[in-house]
Amino acid sequence: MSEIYDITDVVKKLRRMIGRKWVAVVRKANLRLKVREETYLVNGNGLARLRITLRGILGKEVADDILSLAKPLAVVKREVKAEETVVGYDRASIESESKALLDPIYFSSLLIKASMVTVESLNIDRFDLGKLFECLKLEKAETYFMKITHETGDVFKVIVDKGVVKAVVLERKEGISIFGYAALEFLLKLKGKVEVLVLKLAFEK
Amino acid sequence: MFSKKIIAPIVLVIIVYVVAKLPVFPGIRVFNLVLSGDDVGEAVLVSVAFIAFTLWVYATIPYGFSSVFGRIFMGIMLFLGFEAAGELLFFISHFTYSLEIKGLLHVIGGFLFVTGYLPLYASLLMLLCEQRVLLRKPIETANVFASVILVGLLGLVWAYFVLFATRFLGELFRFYAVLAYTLYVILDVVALMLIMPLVTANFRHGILQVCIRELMIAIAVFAAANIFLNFSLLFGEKVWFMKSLSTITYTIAYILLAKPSVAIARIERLTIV
Repeated sequence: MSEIYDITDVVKKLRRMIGRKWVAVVRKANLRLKVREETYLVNGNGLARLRITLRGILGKEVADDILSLAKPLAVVKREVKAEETVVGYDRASIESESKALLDPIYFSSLLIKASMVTVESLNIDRFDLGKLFECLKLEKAETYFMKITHETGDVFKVIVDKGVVKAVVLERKEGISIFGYAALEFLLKLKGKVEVLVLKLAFEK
Repeated sequence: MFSKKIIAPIVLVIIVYVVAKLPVFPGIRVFNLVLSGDDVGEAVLVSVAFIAFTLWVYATIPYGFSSVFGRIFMGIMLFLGFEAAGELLFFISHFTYSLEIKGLLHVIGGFLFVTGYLPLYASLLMLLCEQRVLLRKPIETANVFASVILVGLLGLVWAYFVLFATRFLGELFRFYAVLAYTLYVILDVVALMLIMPLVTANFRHGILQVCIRELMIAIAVFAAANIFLNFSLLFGEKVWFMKSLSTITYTIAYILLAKPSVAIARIERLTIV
């Protein structure tokens, strides 16, 4: 995070005091001035360097007095903007639940009381759980099992509980199984023609 | 203030004067002119004055003539320019045999000497106005009072000697010469009155303030040397060493005046500890 300062008034004051020598002073401070429409901008580090240089030339009090004319403009955040979340998932349970999903007994026990909701063929640009729920008219409060078969032959098995992905397993065409967060990453990159089979899971209280 | 760079030219100037004043000094022949020991001394004085002026031109130009310190330095530069030109005209007058030309050179040179004080006063008044930038605390009234009395004493001593000289040694002194010397002394006393409160105040520790303090001290030395020179001119013809001593102090004053110009010109390259 870095601050931007408008030092136009500082430059004017320096020019009034020491004339064109202000250029040499700024050069000594190793400043990278940005000039936009007669406005001189400098970042926080540059202002600190200018303060040190001016303190040497004009003394501490005079330099601080002149630099009090610098106006902070804005705080520029350098953090990378987080990507828009398209799939909510439970990071804690996704690994263990996904591994359990590989177990055929567990898997079959899940499906015993499941009820068919829909089967749809879709063409997707990227996997967006919210849009999928809208498209298939699913309810966020329920728990669903989804079997997503891609046109390449890859199969994703996904359990979604209350709109959050609880488990993912990817069964590649070649017979390799990937589960957990690694499978989720493949799911997020999914695009093209897919067939989605949705089952509603019921649990005994 | 007294670094090797400043001590070396001062020592060199003193050696040149001592050698030039030795009775065995044969004189230097330049373009059919024979320079005596005093002429060599004055040639050094003129050269040092022009070097000081050139250095101040070099120092002042980057500050421009519209900035506060640019105007202050321009005043010093013009002062030195007028003084150096005046010194040169007085020096040239030694080599003319025509009394009319000699008189004309003296009149113009004297006029330049007096004119030089106007930009100097302008600079000193501007420095007084900018004392907030230069000083830690504003000038104290006690300093002003003490300075005026101390410097005024110099004027009183001068007045006493002039009255003494004209009353008892009247036939030995030319009236216009005494008038001219008195005018210079008055100008120097006014300059000292403006400088002393600043010099005795507590300066800030920036490079610019340190340079200006050195400049103030140099101007004070110059004014004191000029007063001494006028004393020596009044009585110098009777006491041989006074003229030489005053020329040496005058040259040293020019060297001291030139010194801060180097720092002011390269202010961005200096660091202060």
